Amino acid sequence: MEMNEKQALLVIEEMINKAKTEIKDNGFYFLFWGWLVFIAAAINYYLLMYTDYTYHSIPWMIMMPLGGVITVIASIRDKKKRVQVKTYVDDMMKYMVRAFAISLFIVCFTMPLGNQWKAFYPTIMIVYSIWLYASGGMLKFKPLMWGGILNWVLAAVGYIYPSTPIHLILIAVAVLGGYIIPGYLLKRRFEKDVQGA
Amino acid sequence: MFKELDPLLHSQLRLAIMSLLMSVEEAEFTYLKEKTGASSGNLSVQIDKLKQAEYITVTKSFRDNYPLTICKKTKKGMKAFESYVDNLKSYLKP
Repeated sequence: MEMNEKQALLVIEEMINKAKTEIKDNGFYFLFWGWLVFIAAAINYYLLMYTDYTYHSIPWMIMMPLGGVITVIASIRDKKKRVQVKTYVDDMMKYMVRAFAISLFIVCFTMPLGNQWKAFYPTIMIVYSIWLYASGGMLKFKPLMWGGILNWVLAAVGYIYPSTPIHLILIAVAVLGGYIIPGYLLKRRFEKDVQGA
Repeated sequence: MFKELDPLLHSQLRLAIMSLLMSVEEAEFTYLKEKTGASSGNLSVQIDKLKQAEYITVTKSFRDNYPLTICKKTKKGMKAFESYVDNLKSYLKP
């Protein structure tokens, strides 16, 4: 079909608009991990403060590996029904997720081995904040960035007050503001995008 | 002075394909079909023309027993698109 120069420009404009990064994250992992950590922290706090149970950190030992297994299974399933396009943001996010997972893995496994409990939760929050702030920026999703800022503040408070009960409350607030709330907002935005598509 | 527009890009569907590929890293055939609204047959023909001109690369494989075609722009394609847009500007200047 013949087209003139103005039509050519319209074609380019229309296609570039169509290819604009759509939010493809439905918030599943944010909500899943947010609630998992929140519940583990709450149970740990209850066992520590209101019972004489020695192994008060048992919820972490059960729930975190379980969460890891579920995440691996879910991500393999996700890969199979992978979206039909790869954007530059997808590529950046891939490296970011990898860096975050490796950092978190090192903190979660080596700090307890070295008995570094006083700095354990604040360090997790620091790792969270880098991930939340940077991924929020890449996805152009402000609630995640605010979650990152919240985690920085809570981590600073945690380093200043090295007490396990305080740290458990801080980590619960950290995941509520950094994962659970942004997770629900992300889910809402995703559903809106899908309906609008 | 008007500059000649690359005839390979000065066609609605081929230009649409290239514009989409300029915005993303790579895209599957189904994505291009959905965004351009073209028929599979027409899209295949135009993709083939762009491939022959080395403006894009086409990788064919299988996923879950279904054929999977992935298109990606080349450096030559990027340059051609950029100069097409530059030339287009010369027409649109008042």
